[in-house]
Amino acid sequence: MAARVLLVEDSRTQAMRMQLELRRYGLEVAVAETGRRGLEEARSLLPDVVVLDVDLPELDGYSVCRMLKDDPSTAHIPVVILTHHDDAQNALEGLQTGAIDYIPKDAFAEQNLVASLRQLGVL
Amino acid sequence: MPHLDCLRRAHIHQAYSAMGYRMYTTTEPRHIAVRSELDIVTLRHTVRQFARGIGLDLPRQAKITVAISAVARAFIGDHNHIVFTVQVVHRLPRSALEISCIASCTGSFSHTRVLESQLNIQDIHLLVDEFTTVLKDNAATLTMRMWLAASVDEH
Repeated sequence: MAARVLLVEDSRTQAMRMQLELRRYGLEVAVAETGRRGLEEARSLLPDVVVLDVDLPELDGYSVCRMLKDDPSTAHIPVVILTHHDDAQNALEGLQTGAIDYIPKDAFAEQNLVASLRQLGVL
Repeated sequence: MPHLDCLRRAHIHQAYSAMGYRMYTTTEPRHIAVRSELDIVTLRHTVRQFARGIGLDLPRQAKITVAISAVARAFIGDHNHIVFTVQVVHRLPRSALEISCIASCTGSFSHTRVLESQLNIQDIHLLVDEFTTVLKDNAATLTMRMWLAASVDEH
C-alpha cells in the first residue's frame, strides 16, 4: 500500500508542484489549503507524514503542529515543516512545536523533502 | 585554487591549536565561497547533503543548515570575502561535523559590529552543539559543530 502524505499548503501552484513530485515516487498525496482543514484531515486520514507550510489561513503551521502533537491520536505522525522562513528563530520555533524537520522553500526544497521522507521510511 | 584552500585550512588549524585543540581531519573538506543569497542556498544544500551523508538525524540536519544560513547572511551584507569549510573532524572527546566560516576584513568593516548587531549568537548556540568565534588580525573565524553519534564516530 502506498504511503500517505498530507500536504498542508495554501498556494495552489506550490501544492500542485509538490503533489506531482511526490506522486512520482508512488506516494498518495492529500492536500489541505488551510491550517484548520489540515488539522481535520490529519485527524481523519491519519497520514504517514504531514508536510506543513507555516503561513496558512485560519491557523498557522506552528499551531497546527502543536495541536497534532498534543492529540494522542496524531502525536505519532511525523511533521515536516516546509516554509520560506529560513531564519533561526522560526526554525527553533518549528522544531520546538514537535516537527521532525524544517526545510526552507528554496531551489532544493523538493529534493530535500524527498530525502527526508526516505530517511523517515515513508519512501 | 588549491594554494588558497591550504591557507584557509591552515588558518582554521592555527586558530584551534591556539585554543588548545588537537585536531585532524579524515574527510575531504569542502570549501564554498559565499557572495550572494544564491550562494547561501547552495551552501545550505551542500551542508544538508553532508549532514545527511554522515547520518545526522533530521532535526539536527535542519538546525545546522539554518545556523549556517544565519551566519552567512550576517556577513554577506558588508563585505565580499567569506569562505565556508565543511568537514568532519575527529578530535577528543568526540568527532563532529564542523562548518567554519572565515570572513576577511575589508575597509571599515567591523567583525565585532556584525557579531553584536547582525547575528543573534544566542540562537546559534541553541541550534548547534558548539559555536566558537575567533577574531584575529583581519579575519573572523566562526565555527559550528554538531557532534556525531558513536556509531558514526567509529565509522
